[in-house]
Amino acid sequence: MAELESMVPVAAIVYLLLGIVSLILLNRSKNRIWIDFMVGQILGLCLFIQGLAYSSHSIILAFSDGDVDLQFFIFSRNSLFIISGFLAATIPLLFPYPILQNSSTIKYIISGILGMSLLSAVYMMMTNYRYFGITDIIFVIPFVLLISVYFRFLTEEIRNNDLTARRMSFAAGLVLIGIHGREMTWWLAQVISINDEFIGRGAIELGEFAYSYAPAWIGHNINATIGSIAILILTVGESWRASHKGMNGFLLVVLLIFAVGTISGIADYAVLDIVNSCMYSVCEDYPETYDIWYNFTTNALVYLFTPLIAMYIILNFDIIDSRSSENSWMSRIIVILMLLIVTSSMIELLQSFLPVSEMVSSAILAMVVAIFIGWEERIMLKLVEEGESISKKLISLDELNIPDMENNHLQLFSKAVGVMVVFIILLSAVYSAII
Amino acid sequence: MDSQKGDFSEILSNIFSNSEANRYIVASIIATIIMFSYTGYDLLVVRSDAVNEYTNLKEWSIVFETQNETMQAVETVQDDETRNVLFDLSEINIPDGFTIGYIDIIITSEEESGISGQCDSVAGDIIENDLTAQWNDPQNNLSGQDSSCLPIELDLTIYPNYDGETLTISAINEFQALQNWTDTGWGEGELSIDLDLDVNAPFGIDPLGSDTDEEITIDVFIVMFKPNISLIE
Repeated sequence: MAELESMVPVAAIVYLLLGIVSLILLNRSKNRIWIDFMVGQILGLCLFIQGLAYSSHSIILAFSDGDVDLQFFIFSRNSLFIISGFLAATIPLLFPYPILQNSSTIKYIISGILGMSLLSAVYMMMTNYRYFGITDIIFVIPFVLLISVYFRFLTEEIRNNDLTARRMSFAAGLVLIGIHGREMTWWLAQVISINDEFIGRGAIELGEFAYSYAPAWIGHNINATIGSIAILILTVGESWRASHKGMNGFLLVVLLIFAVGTISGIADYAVLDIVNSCMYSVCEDYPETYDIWYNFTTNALVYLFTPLIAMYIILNFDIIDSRSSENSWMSRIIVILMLLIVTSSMIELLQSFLPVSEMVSSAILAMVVAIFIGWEERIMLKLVEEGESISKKLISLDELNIPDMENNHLQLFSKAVGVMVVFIILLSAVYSAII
Repeated sequence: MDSQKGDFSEILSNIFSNSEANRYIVASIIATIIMFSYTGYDLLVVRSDAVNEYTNLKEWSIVFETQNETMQAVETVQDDETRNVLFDLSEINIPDGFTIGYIDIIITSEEESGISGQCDSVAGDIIENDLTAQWNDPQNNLSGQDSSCLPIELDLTIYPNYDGETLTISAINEFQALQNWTDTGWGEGELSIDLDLDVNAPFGIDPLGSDTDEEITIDVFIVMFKPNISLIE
């Protein structure tokens, strides 16, 4: 059986590609309402920065066995993850229901978040990432906002038969999965409280450096709890909706993640002896099947499917103007490209442990390519034609303020983040060279 | 169209405008707090002893128990000949828990032929090959030469940094303390030794031509170790 391939380099390509294309398409989209423009920028930049972080991580993985000094890549990876985490936590403040609607609050609060992310990245670097996990507490308020929006519009759809409300609860659910997908696959382990034993093992394997301090653990526990509650909310909410409105694709996605979390929880419980072996004797390796399961579920969700969710949000919620002739071709290319990269990675992953010859996997890939090309128009129609900006719903409810802000002002955000990323990479280079 | 002014309290009142939804929101937040509390209690209180134990550095003493294996080859080498001798290390018996630490080689020759009995020049070299070893270790002695009938000693370190001395290590647990001494894969392959012989005769004259070769014995001492760890109180 071949060794399982790492998906991190693929994740780096997928995130970078989608981030760059989203930003290009957004800048070409004329007459976007401020909320779409702002969310598009944050989402594009978040993907791009995560792509950079995964690139650093890929280099670390590739050279970790040699004598190469990887300190610069470790600093830049960790700092970029912190910044992208702050950006991801900013999205629920604006999407699907913007709680920042006043031009001054948009300017000051978002500038404040950027400043905080920069300070956190620098502070974490100076303290050797001892408190790394504590930054996860920034997801508490976004979580409360997202479940509030989800419940409000889900209830309105079911009780008042407000069909347009679905867009809002659907968007809130997608953002919850996009941000907390990984933790959702650990929901059962968190409910029966065995994640702490895995953290204990991690502490021993990584040394005292990584998990030595309570603040970091509190952050990890908050994130795991939020993810677990989020998937339980979505499962109950979508099942409730399905009982009134019938089945839909999103319910299947939610049930799939719920099922993955259930099986993972049972698998986690089954390997507890191995987990604890680390504390009392010598760390035993996890069974190969367990590693394969996590690679196909949690890792695939984080590395490959989260960018697809982001792409779906960008296109289906009309954040970019994908209907214009200028953007149409590029949108089509990126959709097919993303689907192909993800599919080919999954086939490659399958090949790494199943005795499938390269000839067969190539044939399967060719079939997938043919299907995507043949259905390209249908896929795009499904993504774009059914899409509608959530701003229309908010305007119809008279709950969206249109502040007096030029697009140029909003674009300052991208420039500020760009400067911040360059600054943090330079700082990583200098700091890694002098310590 | 735009009666919403972006007032924060108005936005929040809009979000929480549905009383039925608010009940679900409150229930979800309570569930979150409850789950965070008991998982946090497990993590930070119940496990605090374990956490402290595994995050505080302790002093460990590592003593190496050793066992030796020997291999031998006797070769008759002709004058001016270079002979390569291979020792397949997979043929030795390595007890459970033991790893090859280093290899000592002793090359001996006894001058028996020729009129004068003058010692011949013998040279031995360990040839770098695919054998997994510390080829650049400063403790190595990969080449030796002698023309006074004394044994030639060669050394090759196999396991990184192993010198057999007792160590004191700071680590959070036994596993980490032993981490540098549980590598596998070292000492796999064949030990390759080149022998060179240059027959010596008084004033370079051997009228009977009787001293044309030499019997050379190569003794390979393979030192294996097993780390035994104990906590220094």
